[in-house]
Amino acid sequence: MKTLLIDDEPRARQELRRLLGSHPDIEVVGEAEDVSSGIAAVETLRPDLLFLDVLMPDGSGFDLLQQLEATPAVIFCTAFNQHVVQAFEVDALDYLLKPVEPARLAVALDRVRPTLAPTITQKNNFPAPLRSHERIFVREGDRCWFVALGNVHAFESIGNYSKLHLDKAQPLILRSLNTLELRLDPAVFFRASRNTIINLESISAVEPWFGGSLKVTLRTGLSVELSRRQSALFRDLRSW
Amino acid sequence: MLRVIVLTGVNYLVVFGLWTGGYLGIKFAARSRQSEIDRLRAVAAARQAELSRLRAQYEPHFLFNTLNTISALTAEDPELAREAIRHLSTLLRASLTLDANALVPLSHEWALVGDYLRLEELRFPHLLNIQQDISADAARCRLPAFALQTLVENALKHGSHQTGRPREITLWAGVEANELHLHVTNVGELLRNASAPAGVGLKNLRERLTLLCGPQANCTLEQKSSRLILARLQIPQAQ
Repeated sequence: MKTLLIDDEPRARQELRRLLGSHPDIEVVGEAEDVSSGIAAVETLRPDLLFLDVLMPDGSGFDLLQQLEATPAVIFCTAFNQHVVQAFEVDALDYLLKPVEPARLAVALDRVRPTLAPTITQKNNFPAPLRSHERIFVREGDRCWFVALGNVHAFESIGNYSKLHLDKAQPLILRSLNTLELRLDPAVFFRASRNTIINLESISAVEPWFGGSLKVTLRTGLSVELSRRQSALFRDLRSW
Repeated sequence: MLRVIVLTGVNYLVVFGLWTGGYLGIKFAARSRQSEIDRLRAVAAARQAELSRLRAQYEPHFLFNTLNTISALTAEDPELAREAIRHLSTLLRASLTLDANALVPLSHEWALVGDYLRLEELRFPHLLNIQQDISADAARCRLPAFALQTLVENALKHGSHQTGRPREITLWAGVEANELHLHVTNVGELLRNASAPAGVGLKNLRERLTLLCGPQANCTLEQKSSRLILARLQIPQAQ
């Protein structure tokens, strides 16, 4: 497991490194000391797992996650639990209290391992599209959680933001539909209209609409009218 | 006969009236005295409660991060780990025995701040640069316990953080016209937004200053130059 440590205190990173030394499947590939260098390190090193401090001089661990297009598995490390406990629903993620107890670290790692899909080695420089199990971090008021892309029924454009249509919530993320479209897997997500990307697996009905176009309804009840051009693409895709 | 009865009746009435009036008067006076006592008690209790609410403490983040540092040091440099434990013990002892009502000499407060800063240096090696100039007169002046600690904590927390650059803090203390003047300067910018609330630490310090040192004592925070923030503490000393 490629692991990145993000904490503003050098000795805290050193202590984690030492503790992780007894887990041979963990390979610490790098360290970062604040939010901005952390984001850069995630993008260049593409780790499977992050150990993430909550409070850093230029922002919080949550700020960092919000700026990633997809998050690796995350184990929060904090000196005092008030922030994490406030922000997260039970079981939404794991966190460790510093100083870290070795037994507790082992439990956290055991929980993380099964969530990691085997890494596909990339042959070229183009980032592979994000796959359905990959997760994005969302934040709505005081609540934060991770959403697997496969659980997003649709992305709807709202200014600079995109609204995620989930089973029970519709949080916003600060990313445009165009940016998302470039990174989503075209086998799963389809640009249905100027302001909507739909998950093909969430479709419950497709009806012919005016002038040879189509109207697609999702399991959530959301329905989208496809333009004629998109209708043609959709028919090709589905060999209708 | 009738006249006698009426007169007697009037007499009784007068006597009865006087008795009742006297009784009610005494009772009322007692009651109002009691209510005054109750009121003063309530004020004192509120003040006590207020002081213990405002009782300054080391931040949990600081305490647990320090323990984590010590944990790392036990492997890296056991002698440094022992030193860190000594500083932390001094701070914990001071915080456990801290009397929120007490005024302490600046020399005492400065010694504790020294322990605190040494621990911060261990957490962020080479990232702290402290200059100090405390006159002998100022060292003997008294201030609310933890007042200097609050200002130094604030300067560290809200100073500008440029990754890899040391945080600079300058401390000056002197006496003028029987008043202690304390200046803590750090590099940084106050939030432009004037409506931004002052930190809880600073707000508590101001309330404690008023309660313990009277309305003349005060604490201000200002942008001294384009890059320096100045926290000023001014405390009249008893003759």
